[in-house]
Amino acid sequence: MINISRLKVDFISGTQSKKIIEGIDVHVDEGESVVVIGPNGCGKTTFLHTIAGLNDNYSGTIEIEEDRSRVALILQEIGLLPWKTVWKNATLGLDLQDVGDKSRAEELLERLDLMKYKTDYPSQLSGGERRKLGLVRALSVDPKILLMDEPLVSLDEFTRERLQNTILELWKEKGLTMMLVTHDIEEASFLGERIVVLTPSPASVKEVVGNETMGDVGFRRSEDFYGTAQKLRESLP
Amino acid sequence: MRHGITRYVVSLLFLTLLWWLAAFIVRQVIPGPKSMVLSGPIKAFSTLFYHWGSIWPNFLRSAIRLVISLLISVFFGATTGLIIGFEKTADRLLSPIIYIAYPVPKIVFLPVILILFGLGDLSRVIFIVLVITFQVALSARDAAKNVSNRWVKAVESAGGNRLQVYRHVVIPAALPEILTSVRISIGLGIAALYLAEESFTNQGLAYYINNSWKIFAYSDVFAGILAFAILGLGLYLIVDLVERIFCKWNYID
Ligand SMILES: Nc1ncnc2c1ncn2[C@@H]1O[C@H](COP(=O)(O)OP(=O)(O)O)[C@@H](O)[C@H]1O
Ligand SMILES: [Mg+2]
Repeated sequence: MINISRLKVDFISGTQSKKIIEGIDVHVDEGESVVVIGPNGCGKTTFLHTIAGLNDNYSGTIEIEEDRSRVALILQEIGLLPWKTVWKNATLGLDLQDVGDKSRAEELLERLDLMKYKTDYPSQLSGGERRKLGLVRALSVDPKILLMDEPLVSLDEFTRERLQNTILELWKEKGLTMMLVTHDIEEASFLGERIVVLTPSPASVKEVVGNETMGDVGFRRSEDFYGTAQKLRESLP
Repeated sequence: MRHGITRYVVSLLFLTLLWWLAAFIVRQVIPGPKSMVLSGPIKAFSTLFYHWGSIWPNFLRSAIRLVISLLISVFFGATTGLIIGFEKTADRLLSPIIYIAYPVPKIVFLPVILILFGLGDLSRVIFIVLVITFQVALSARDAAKNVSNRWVKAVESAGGNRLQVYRHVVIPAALPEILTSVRISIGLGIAALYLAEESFTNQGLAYYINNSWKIFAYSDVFAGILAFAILGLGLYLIVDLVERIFCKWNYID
């Protein structure tokens, strides 16, 4: 469970202070998937990093009903370490937490078809494979909460949809509590049980769009999917 | 090793040829025994070979002085450099000190060091360390400054502490630059070693060369220079090997 109330973030540079997040209230139940959508530069990354504990300069409250080690974040730029092999990147979280048993990383690599690159380096992977490796790295520590910052940005349509399917499957299978930020309307409509629409900078909640009938791959072809997408289009600036 | 050996052999032959040519010209232009000052390569190599028994202890002594100095410099230089580059407070406090201390010609301190720490190897090592450490520290600092924030965030968001950020991000990211600074240090270190071995010692390659000058054994002078070249080459090859093992990722295209 994640509970965020009256979240405000200001960035101070020199004597100037700039409002980035003006006040966001969001609640994510255990096992729920919430997508936060907003235009570029509205403060989505700042919002997610603040929740993940990478930014202490905020006011308001962030409650997370989980041990920190069970919260995983996938960065917008992924942040794979170029000097580590695919395997070492996949097991980074486990290494950091001193977990000897790497079988979960192995399973995930196998499942996402990355095992064949085990000894390669990230620079040898395609964009889609890097994204998948980011997903493996995040999930290898068996998180309860998964935070994702535009996880499928700059991928071709085909790869993006396939990976959206993968994320959906993993979410259902592992009962993850998921929060994903994106500027992509279809991604939001496909992956969010609820979709929080943010205003342009400084960010605040403009509208919350319900999308309860999502949940399987065929949803993309349904009336509800188009209905949600249409609502988001009207709500976004 | 893409035709590594061939490259070295070709370079060696080329340098030897230039050297031979220079010696030949000197012999034509300058008449008499003066021309002997520049020994030809054949003479130098054969002297190196036949006098190896007396050169070897000097080689070993120089090598030990240099390698110990390099290890100390790289350890302290890289450690402080990485911390200065990565921790903003350390940068503000210590960068000015490095900027002030780095350009000062360290040779002026050699007599001071010799007086304070005696005429033994300790003084020589301190002097060489003083010459090369700043340069390593500066390289490490700049490398640490360029560490991308996304890598740090990746480790931090996965629960990594500060020490783990250094271990998994800062050190591996900076390693190629540190190794480059080690290569520069080998050259600087040999120059410093030469100065440090010129006086108050009875062993070392510089001592051997100086002594050979004094007794007009010119071919021994050049044999000594060759021994220095071998020492440097050996160290460069070791650094290359370290890089190939620990920076594999940097060699992928
Ligand atoms: N460290 C920072 N210091 C100052 N301003 C920042 C910093 N990071 C981001 N910003 C500003 O905050 C705003 C929101 O950025 P970001 O959260 O990255 O937006 P989004 O992810 O929605 O594109 C932008 O205007 C950006 O310029
Ligand atoms: Mg962003």
